[in-house]
Amino acid sequence: MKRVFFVLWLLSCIAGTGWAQSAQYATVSGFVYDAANGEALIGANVYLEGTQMGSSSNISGYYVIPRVPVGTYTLVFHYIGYKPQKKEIRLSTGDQKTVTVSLAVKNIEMERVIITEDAIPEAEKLFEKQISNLKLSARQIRQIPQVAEADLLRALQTLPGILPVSDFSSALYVRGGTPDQNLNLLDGTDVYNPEHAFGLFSTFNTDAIKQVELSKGGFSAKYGGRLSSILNVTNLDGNREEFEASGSISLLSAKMTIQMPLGKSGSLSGSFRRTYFDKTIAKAIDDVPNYYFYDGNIKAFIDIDARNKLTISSYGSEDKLDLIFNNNVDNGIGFRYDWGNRTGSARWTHIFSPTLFANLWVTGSRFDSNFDFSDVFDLVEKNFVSDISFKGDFEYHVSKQFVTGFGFEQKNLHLIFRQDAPSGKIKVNTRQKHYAAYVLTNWRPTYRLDVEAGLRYNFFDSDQNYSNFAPRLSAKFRLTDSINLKASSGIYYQYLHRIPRAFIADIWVASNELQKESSSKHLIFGISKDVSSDFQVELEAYYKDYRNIYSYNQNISVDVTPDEYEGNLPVYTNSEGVFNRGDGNSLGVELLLRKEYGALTGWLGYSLSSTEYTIDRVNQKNAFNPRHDRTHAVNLVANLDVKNMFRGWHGKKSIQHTSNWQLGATFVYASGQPITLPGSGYFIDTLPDWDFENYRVYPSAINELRLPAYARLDLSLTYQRHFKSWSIFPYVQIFNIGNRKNIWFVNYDTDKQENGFDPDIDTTGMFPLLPTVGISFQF
Amino acid sequence: MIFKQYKIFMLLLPALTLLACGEGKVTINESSYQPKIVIQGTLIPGQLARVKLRRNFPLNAVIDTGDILLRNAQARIADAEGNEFELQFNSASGYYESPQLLVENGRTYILQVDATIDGKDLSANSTTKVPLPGFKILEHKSRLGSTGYRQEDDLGNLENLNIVFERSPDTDYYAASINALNADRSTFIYENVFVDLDSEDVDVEDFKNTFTWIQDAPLEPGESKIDIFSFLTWFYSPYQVIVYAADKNFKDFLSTNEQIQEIDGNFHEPAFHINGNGIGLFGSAVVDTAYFEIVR
Repeated sequence: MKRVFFVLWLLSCIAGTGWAQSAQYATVSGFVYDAANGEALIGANVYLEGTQMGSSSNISGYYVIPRVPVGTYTLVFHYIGYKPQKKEIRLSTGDQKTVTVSLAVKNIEMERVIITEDAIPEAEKLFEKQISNLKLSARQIRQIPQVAEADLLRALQTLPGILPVSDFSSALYVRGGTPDQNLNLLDGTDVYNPEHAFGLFSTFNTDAIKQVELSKGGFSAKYGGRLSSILNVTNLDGNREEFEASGSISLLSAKMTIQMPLGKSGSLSGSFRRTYFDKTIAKAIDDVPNYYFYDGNIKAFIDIDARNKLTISSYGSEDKLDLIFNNNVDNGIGFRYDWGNRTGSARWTHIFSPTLFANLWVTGSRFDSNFDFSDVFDLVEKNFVSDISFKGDFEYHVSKQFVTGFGFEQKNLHLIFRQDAPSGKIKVNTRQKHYAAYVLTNWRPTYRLDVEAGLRYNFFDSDQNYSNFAPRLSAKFRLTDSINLKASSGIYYQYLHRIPRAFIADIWVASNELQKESSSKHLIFGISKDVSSDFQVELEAYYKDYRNIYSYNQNISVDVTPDEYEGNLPVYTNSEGVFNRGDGNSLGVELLLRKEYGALTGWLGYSLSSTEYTIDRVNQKNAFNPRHDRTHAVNLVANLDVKNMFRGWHGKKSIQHTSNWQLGATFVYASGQPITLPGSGYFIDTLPDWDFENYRVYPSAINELRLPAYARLDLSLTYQRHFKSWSIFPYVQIFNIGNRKNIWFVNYDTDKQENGFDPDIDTTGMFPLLPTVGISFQF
Repeated sequence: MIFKQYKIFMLLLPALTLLACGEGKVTINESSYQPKIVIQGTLIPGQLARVKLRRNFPLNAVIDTGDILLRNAQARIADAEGNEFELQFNSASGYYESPQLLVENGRTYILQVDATIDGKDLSANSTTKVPLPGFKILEHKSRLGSTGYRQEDDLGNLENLNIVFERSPDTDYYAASINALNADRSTFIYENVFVDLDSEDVDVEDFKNTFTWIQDAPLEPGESKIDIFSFLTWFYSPYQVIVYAADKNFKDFLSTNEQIQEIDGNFHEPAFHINGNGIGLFGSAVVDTAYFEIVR
């Protein structure tokens, strides 16, 4: 730990040297916007032509180039798919020049050019990209064929190192980590149970998304609180120039997104969707439960002045299920279950000086669910999570070699789980505070080398307090102009643990005197190469270890003990007996070949990985592979622009046609999941007075076997028709076109024969072939 | 080069479609079999000690139930005072019994079993402490007798049957075995609120015997109640209810022996308190019985 402090101190001293000389230089800063709608462009490249001085815009579109020697320069702005802009600037000693630009989409002869290549060399973009970091745009998500509709989390599952556990879950298992180890941020706000429809869909509405960034590991000191990954979703700020709307309708759902200017200096975006299985399929098929969900978000961006911006964002969702067991009797009974998320954030972006930039946030997140089974036996349940947070991120550009970041976060958590049943009550009601502060220094001593050192401090105030330092270090090195080497390492802590429940919302439990904080160390090495202007390849190897991870105790009913009684009814108020503690590790290699431009776009991913857990009271404490472990996984995502394919054959550039066909394909192959199967069968009388023998099975060693490999091909065909002021996109998607029977799990039974019993085996499959039709529009 | 990319893509599609067809297969003999002694024994105060011993079997075997009973095992029960009782196999009942060992409340008993299965010498042992006396059904405080299916009171509230009982000290688990005494297809409650079944779909054996329980009851003497909800009664019939005030072995066996498949299909280990190469139950319970009837 002392070494980490020493490195940070040393870096600060070097930075300080540069600061003392600032009077001989000038600073250039400003914002980069989209000319069409006024949206901030994240990651736009800004540089001084003929020099190696430059920067890229941050999440607010802000850039800064500090310590520029006085003189005359050409300032160049580039962003993928936009016309580059150049500005002549003259800098005098001490100047703090502000240059804000709006970039326009490339146009040739009134036809928009499809992105064929970017002005910034791919090698440069690969170098700038953080290790294990992935970005997806809303367009890319929409192009991936899915069940029913485009879904962010399912789109991410097509990338190497990110796996689903089954077709029925959109949860992400990132590099061997479990879904609770992922921090889900929506406009800066934590989202705790980001699932609709029992995990089939995520809460993120693709139409409202501006950008998605996922870090699969080795993330910087700016982020904490989770062991495995950071999913950062930024919604659209809104069109600042004109009214814009888009929407879609299918047999299952309808959605609409609008954007509009808000006065002269702001914008507003809003999105709403609702499913209506309950009005369509449920009317025709008896077994479909009465279920629907809706969600919506509103986001406002206000450009107060050149130094102050305010963004206010809110999101709300509600899922409602009403299930009647037997519809053929009067006064049928069943259960009701509803759940939903509410999030809200206010972000104040303030530029203290051209070199000191800050984002200050107030965020609120709330999840609650209510389960009512009182028709049958007076069981009701409430599951509630609330998180009010204050945080600040500061970015100080000390010199062209040094950028320092620092910040804080203060979270106020409130977790409630209540269950009232005739046999007892669960009353968990806890409050925790989580304080975190970080400092990081990015040092770029030469054109070839980039080093970032950071330190995050966590203090978790619960019924037992936890205090941890989490150092982080990453480095990037240009081996050649097209090959980059990258490495990252860090320690990560997590203070929230999840009780997973299939098909209903997970329960969150905070670290306490029974469950310590979880921790993980990451070590990642990577190499990326710009193979040609068309293809980029990235190869990464990683090792993660886990300490104090908690798995749900499947025999919880015999291990919990009541803390008090109400009358004669037991009342449980803590998490004793709920979890089994364990350790583990994951290691793997991932390959990603990506093609972003041209008529054929997409990626090919491969991962080779292994995850092992050792859990107290499970498998006699012998190591085992968890259910989500997959040794090999291959993903191919391809989108073909049909008309431009033919133009490509004739050596012509791709353009946006007024009408066109898009063919999309997703192929997944993954080696079989570990599974515990029964090792033997036996007969026993369940109760002493039941003198008939019940057939039972006894498991083999935990997860010692593997299911057959998983394979699936999905196809989509979209017709695009662009009119003068609006566009329409009818589509058909086919999920699992080969109708492969991928196995989810296995059931065992016996058939009674004349002389005894004959064993019987039955498999439960995942999704069969599922077609979807729908229509999207934009105006 | 560009042409090549499209060509590869177009050729790849049918190949991938072929790869993504078909069916994953799991065969029944894939899992690993380990022979185990299956113990079934519940000691009841005032009754002679007896246990039934069987063997488990590979999943891919066609089972003759007569072959799974262990007839040549060595079984003995020792008490905490060091008295040891050899159990003899009774071919008529299929149990290993001791005519000398009358089970007493509050005593601890240790079962030791040795057997040879598939040529392997196996042994298993387990310990149970018999619950203390004091458990008794309080019929006058219970809602039993004759009642209609899902009978409601004048206000429309459901009137569930229940059994009120005096607890046994230091015992927190009570299971009620609910058995229809006149169960057949003609007495099945077809207008039930849970499943829609026709006469030919009803397998009487699936519904005839049910059970419910309460757990973590106070350890001190006092009264508790077990509700008999409507999903536990499926016939217009008289019912016998046998209530067990049970030890931890009984509780853990009953709670986990069947519930070993998780909702995602994976299996996990049940909580059996048997050491060595044994599975099943060696437990103890105090017993009382009550009756009620569901009438049309």
